[in-house]
Amino acid sequence: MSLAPVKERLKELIKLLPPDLASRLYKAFEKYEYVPATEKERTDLMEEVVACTIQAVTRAFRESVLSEGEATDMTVELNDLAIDLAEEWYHYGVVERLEKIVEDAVETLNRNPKYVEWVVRQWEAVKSLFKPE
Amino acid sequence: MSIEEARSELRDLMERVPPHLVSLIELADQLLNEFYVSSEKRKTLVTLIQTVIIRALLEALQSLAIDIRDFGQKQMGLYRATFRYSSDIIKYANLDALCGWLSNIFVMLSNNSAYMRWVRKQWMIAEKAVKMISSR
Repeated sequence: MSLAPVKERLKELIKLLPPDLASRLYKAFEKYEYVPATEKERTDLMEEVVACTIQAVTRAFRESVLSEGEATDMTVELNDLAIDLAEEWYHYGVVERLEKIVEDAVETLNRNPKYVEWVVRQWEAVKSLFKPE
Repeated sequence: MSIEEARSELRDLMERVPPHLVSLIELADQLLNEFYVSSEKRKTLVTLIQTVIIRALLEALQSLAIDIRDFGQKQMGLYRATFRYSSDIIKYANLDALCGWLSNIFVMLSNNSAYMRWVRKQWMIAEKAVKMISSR
């Protein structure tokens, strides 16, 4: 089965991650056009979604963008949604599960305006580096 | 496996988090009494314990006791352990799974010496504060 629907959702998620983490996640998906054949590959792919989103939240906490309570709640929520949906993806490669995880991660990160502003600032800083003189 | 054995695992875990988070572990201890009541209660218990661990790790990160890489490793360890055990705990009220999960988290936290030094220091500070107040 094609990974195209997940890659569509992924575009929304990478906008909500700091540029380096966005690039890391994009690269992880770039390897596959179709659902990965082995459970190990599917697990790795899913864990990249978990690791990149949670690392973004942790970084926002470390830079005092998010309070400890906000970072804790977002981390537990990202953890939980991946746990709830991962089994069928890991074992049977049900692509809708991965799609839902990406969609829910977008929702979780989008809910906090301070976090979103912080990410947008980072993207603007990167874009300014590539602005033509 | 009995509720008392699960309680003992929780008590072990208590020493692996800073003292001010102990009240949350005590709350988890109370929730243990309702382990067989409903899956919602068990889900609350799992979420509460995850919250305690994430808070402890974020505080250790903020105090520079661990770095973001350490945090990431521990957090993924928590994710993997929770994935492995949570379905048995929540859906099937399996106490063995709960104990397995708690002991897995215990080992994961104990394995990081920088984190453990930081926790011990928190406990020593709290103990000194208690002594100071008691001697007044």
